[in-house]
Amino acid sequence: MSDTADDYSYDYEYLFKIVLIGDSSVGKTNLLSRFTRDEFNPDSRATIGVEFATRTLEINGKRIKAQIWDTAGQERYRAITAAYYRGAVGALVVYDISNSDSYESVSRWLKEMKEHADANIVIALVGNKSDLEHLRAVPTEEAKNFAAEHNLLFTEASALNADNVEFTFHQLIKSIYEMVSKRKFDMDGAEGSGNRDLNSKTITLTPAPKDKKVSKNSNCC
Amino acid sequence: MSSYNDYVFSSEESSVDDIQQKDGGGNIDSMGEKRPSFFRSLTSLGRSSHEYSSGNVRTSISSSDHINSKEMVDNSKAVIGAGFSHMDRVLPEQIKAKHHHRSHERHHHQAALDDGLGDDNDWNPVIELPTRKVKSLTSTTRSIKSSLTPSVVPQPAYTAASPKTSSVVRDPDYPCIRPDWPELLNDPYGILTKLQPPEHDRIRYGKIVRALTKQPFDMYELKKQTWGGIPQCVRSLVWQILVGYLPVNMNTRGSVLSRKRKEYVKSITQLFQGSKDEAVWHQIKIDVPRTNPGTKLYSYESTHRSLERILYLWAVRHPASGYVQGINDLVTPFFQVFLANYLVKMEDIEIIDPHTLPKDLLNAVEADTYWCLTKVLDTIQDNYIHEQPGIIRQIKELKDLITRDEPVLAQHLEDENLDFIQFAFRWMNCLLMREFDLHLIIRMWDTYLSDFPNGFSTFHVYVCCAYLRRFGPQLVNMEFQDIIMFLQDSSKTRDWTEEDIEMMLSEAYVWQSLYENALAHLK
Repeated sequence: MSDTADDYSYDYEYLFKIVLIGDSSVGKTNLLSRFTRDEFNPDSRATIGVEFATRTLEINGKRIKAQIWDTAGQERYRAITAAYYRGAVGALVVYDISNSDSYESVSRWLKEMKEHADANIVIALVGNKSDLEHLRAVPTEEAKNFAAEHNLLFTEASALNADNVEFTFHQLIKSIYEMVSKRKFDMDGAEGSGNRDLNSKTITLTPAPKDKKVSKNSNCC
Repeated sequence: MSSYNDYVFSSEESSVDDIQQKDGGGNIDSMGEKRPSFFRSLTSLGRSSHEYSSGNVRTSISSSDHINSKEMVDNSKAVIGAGFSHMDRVLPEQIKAKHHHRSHERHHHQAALDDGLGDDNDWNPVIELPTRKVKSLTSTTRSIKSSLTPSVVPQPAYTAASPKTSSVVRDPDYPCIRPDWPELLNDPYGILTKLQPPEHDRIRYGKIVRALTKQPFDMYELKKQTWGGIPQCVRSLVWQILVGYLPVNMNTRGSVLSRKRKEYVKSITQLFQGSKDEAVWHQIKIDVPRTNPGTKLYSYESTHRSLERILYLWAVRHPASGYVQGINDLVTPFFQVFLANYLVKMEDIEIIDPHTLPKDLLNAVEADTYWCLTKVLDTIQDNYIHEQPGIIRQIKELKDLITRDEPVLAQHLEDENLDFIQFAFRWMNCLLMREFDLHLIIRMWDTYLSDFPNGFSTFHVYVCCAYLRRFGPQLVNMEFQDIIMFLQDSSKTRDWTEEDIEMMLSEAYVWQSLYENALAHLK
């Protein structure tokens, strides 16, 4: 494979795998399509299995490619989708501000992530459908406090009118970048302080810019 | 807030026996209105059916009420030639006479239906037909013959909220559906006596009709003839036979069908009277409106209610799996094919609002859909239980086949760290329904059903294999994420025709024949 690596040109220095999770019908697929293609489709079908889309953006002068995996919301798929957490450095846990059940489920999603994902994964809590203010069932303050308690980033956004969608993803990707840079620094400085098992899992998440082949290996699913 | 009544056919009948005792007494339908029910029409038609099958002139003739005499005479040859060899030879004169008689009886029945002699427990099928009704029927027939435009959805004949509903319901004027729908409902085989062979599809049609009417019935022969596709005009009938829902025994099929439909209505009624499994119900409620977006048929409330009832009943009766996202897709081929069977112009199916159809008709279509869906899901139950082992197995089989036959592609996918589950999960979970237009899926199901019960579990894997192989040359030049995005994008099949599907099915068949009984090849 290494001999073919030069055939490809890479226009990014980092590749971050991010997962979108949350109850059915909270708007995961549309958040993704809004962010990656600036599209919104009110008639989108339920996601089955996983789908993904990517977008490259620049943060702190570094070109970062976000590879975002959209998963099915239904409980039944959990056994399957658990595999998709592997290698993820970021997660958006989405709920619908007009649906309190979807907010109640957030704890369950966090728990699941704890079981399957890297302990250092950066998580953002996103209240989608902020355009439905008149139907709001989840107070902003409450979700904000919950996020603070659990050390999560927090935003409210609307895939429908694009409000805050850019910010939501940017904030997450920036945090991931900071986390990754810091860890890289820590690892370079004090080898062994971290969890070795963790390091081997996330090797693909900290590609050295000079070693371009790494990004080809980074599709670790 | 939405009352359970929206989902309940009747709040009156508590059991089928009860209904039978009442001789099809009026039921309250889902609109909450009182009118001659599904049960009544079935009961009365059932009675006729019994009479037909025990009488001298058999079903094939009796169900031809609405064809005018000339057509009937023209058809008589076809009917007899179509293989009702057990049937008494019937001369055109006899047919005419019989036709007249049946027509008359049908008018009685229709009149009773039309007049909606309401909640009358003493409803009597033999009442004089008001003249107005005769006119009405005649004009209906004429209007159907002359002026149906394909794009016109008829005005709703009744509306749920209208207090005048019951009077409007009696209007027999449903211009979009065949005037002989009550007979077809009762005996789907009746369609065979009414069809002219489709112009462009004569040979295939002839073979299938011969297989259908062969005595004694030979399922193998029917499967053989249907593998290559089924003409639209007999598809509904043939599908119901292939899945084993519609009995081939003409003496019992009427009663079996009637019983199954009653059982469905009864189950739904009971189901929605009790408390609901909120989690399952919620999931169904949010998925149904997302089923086949873009097709008008699936945007109507009435369609949504039907799909919800079908899916919820199935889920409750199959607790090991419950409702799993994607099963909503699997309802649609049956629903659409069965509904189209009653339309004057089958092409109208994508725009018709089921709400504008007779409730009895819709109930029967719904029941038939439910039972046939159940038959198919029974063959792939492993796909939807915990951890979905059926899908995992199918994906492994697909990977083995590709590794064996397309080593370059398989190696490339592996080099790219691409796991088959990442793209093939959806292929298995939704039986490729997300990858093709529904009309192509329906063609695929002709073949799958002709291989029932293995079509959906075994043959499907070979079809997926043929599908993936088709893109092999492109895929080997792509990177991981381009592969995923290419495969998850269904627009690439937008230009596919039935011929493309048939090529794919044929290729799948070749591979299956090669490997099916020689699994060691895959090792």
